[in-house]
Amino acid sequence: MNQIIVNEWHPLVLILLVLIVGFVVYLIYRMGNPFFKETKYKREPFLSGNTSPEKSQSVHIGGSNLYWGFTQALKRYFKPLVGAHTGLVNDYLYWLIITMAIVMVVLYFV
Amino acid sequence: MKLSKTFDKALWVFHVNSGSCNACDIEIVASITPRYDVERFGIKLVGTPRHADVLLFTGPVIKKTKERVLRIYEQTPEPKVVMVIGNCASTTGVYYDSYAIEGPIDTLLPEEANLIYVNGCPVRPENIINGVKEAWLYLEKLRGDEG
Repeated sequence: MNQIIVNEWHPLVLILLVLIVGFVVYLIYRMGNPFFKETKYKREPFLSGNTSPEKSQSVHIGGSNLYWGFTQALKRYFKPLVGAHTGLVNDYLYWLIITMAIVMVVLYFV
Repeated sequence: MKLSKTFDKALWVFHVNSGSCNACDIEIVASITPRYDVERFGIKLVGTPRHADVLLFTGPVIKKTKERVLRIYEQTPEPKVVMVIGNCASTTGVYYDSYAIEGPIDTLLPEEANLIYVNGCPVRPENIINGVKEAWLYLEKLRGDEG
């Protein structure tokens, strides 16, 4: 019995997809600058004509530094919080018990 | 060489002082002031050679700026035109026998560079505008659209 199974992986579909994506990539490639020629300084960043520093000099701002200004501005708030995160379950339980005790005292008087 | 249609709209210009006495630089600034106002033609000074169609070089190339001049020339995307502004940039002028001079700009750039000379000491803003017009015509010619 002939039947067409929809929503199932098929090698021909994958090949067709590769061909379509390849064609789109080729079209985008064709839109590029036809005059481009690779030369010595072409790909360097423009720093007013100066040489670009080596990557090892840590001039590259990584993804971890994305919130640098934010954490720097709230440093006084973050520092004790980071210090409180010791990673010991006992410490966390002490915090829980202390907080619960404070809450219970407050509720008793309210 | 086939140029893109974007050259019909506006020429963006990047200015490089390769060792000038500043007189030509002041005249370039004068040409963008309201009296001459080249921005009405779409000619605009930009802050990076990556955005530029035309490079303006003023002054002779000195030993300290040679590498920088070459680097900026290469970092400008093709197609590009180099405008050699002032007598010093084209011949080294009064500084011809200085110990610090590397040479006029056209001796340092590659053979295929498209150069337009604007002479004067210093150049007049009218002359700079005329030079940009010549650059425009030259680029149109490169595009094969002389009409």
